Amino acid sequence: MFRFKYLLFILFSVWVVTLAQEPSGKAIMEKALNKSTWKYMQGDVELILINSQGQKRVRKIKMFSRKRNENESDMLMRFVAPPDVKNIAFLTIEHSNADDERYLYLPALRRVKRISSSGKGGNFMSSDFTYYDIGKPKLNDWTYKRLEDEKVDGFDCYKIECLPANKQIAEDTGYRKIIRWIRKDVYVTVRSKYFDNGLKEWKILEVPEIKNISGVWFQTDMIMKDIQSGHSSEMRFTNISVNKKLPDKFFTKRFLTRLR
Amino acid sequence: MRTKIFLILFYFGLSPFVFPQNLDLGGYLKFFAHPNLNSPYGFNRLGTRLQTTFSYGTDNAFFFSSLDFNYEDTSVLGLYEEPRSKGMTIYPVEAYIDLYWENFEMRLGKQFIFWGKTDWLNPTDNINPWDYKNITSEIEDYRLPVTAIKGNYYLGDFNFEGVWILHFEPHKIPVEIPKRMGSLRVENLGTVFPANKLSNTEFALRISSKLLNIDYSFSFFHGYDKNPTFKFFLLPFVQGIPSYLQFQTTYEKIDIFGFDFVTTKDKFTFTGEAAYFSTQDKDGTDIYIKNPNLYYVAGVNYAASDDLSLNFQFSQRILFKYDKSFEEQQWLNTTHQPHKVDEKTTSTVTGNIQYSFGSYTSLMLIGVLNLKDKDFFLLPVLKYSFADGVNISAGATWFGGPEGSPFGRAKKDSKAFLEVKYSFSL
Repeated sequence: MFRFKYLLFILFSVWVVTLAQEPSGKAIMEKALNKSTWKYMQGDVELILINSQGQKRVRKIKMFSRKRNENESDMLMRFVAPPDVKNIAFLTIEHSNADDERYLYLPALRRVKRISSSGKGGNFMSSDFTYYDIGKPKLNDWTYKRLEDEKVDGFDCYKIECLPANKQIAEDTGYRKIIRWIRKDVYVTVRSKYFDNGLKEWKILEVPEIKNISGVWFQTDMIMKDIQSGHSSEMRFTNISVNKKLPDKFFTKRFLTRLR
Repeated sequence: MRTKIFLILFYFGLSPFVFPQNLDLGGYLKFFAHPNLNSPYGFNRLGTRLQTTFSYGTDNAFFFSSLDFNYEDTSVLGLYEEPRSKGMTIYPVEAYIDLYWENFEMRLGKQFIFWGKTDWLNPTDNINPWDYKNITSEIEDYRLPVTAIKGNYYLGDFNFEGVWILHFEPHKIPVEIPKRMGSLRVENLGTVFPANKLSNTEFALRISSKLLNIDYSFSFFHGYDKNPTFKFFLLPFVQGIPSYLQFQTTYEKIDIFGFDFVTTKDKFTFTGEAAYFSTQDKDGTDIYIKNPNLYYVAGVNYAASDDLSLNFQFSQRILFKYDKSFEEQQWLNTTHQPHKVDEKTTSTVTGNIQYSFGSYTSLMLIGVLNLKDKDFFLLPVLKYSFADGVNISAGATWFGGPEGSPFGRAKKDSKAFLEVKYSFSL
């Protein structure tokens, strides 16, 4: 009898220790969000827009980004191709406690226009990615539940269900639920499923390629498929350079109009 | 002509040696047809344009130029019944050099400088003239470049800007000079432009900055009103009765003090712009020159979704030292004809709807309505992106309203337009 109790105690202890070692959904997300250490980043982006008939349009963009602090960053993008949108430039100055500042330079009008930040759910450059999708999510905006682990393309992944922490987040992002697959070895999201406000499956993100650049893991190829509309968009990153300092004045209206 | 030849030589020949790095070549080829809607002429314009752009840059300097080769089969621009161009014309649209320092920049040459933060109506935008006869989807068709030197000094959030405009360019406005006014014959004395001398050059200053979430600027312009002033002289009297009228077009000096702002809140963008026009009619006694006036525009833009944005603006011009009955009487005394004079206050509303449907099609509708006479201007533009770099635009500039009202007078200028544009980059 004593032996049995002893055995039961040992088994229980092992189970508790094992459970304690298994990270929670939130801990996994926290690690995934905070793993990157870059402050400055620049690179070339190829954005491929594919409509429901399979017609393709390709936009080439130069992108520059910097993190001012944990929750605020600046991003400047300039179109390189096709020629009818060449030199259109876009600047976002993020604020954690106020509306983001967004400026658009339209060379055809020779004007910098300030535009409203139509919510994080607004489409990025007419693609199926939203500004929220390409930005860094805030940990506390969501609640997390760990689901059963799965493999994606042969890699072990954590599977996390993310629910908006409040109604505002759901409205801002347009997502009522997100399920993420995060690779266990490098803590990078390699697949996501997005659900609309009616909890209907809306979009699927596939990440065919990730790369380690100067010690930072980047999703260098991302495909977002809108299941409801049949559209899809692909973002390919090349020539990524990390932590090469960019001057403060770079992220200003002044530089937005510079064609070089 | 010599200047043009020099510019073209510079454009093709010298510039690559001056700026050997980072050569960039591009441009567009465009077919355009502008059928008239209320005119005996079939087309306002019909032709093809090749625009080539060349740019070269280094970290400290940048050269940009765009040159138009315009072949027009039909063109009835300029004054009524006066052909402005037919056949081939070659002209530089822009040609400038940028020089960069740490906190200072300069741009020298033929350029566009647009100020103001509201849409379409900009009281503080007084540097580049308009070509009111050629409003289409392409801004370089209806705005005219100026030869200027522009400097910007940046200090923290402040931008100090100075512009020196070397040569006066007026608006291009359709003007029909009457051959008779009532029983009187009208003799046109022509147009008197400001003499080309240093004291007649124009300049503008602007300070821009940011306070909390508001971008704002103060500006000042000293130069000439780009709108013409029409003067009538009653000459000579024969037995107490005037025999004919003399008519002259002049351009008057003006100082303009401006302010504008823009801010955003959620999906809304709020804009405002105001300018005080200090004219040569300081005491309001000259009936030909516009009285000193305040012109302001307040607007709100709502980005309803990624596909739909709505803009509404209210604007008002208030004349100071203005007595309508005095003006009417003075006109009668001068021309022996009753004349429709300005109201002390004129109010206008504008709306702008932009809607994208599908991935490649968008519709824009701009409307301007003067509240007193209910005269209006409409500009619908439908754009379709046929392929990357190939765009088709169709639309119309439609003027309407009672005879004698500002837009009613321009009914003849209503036209449709169809443009096919292929942009390229080499």
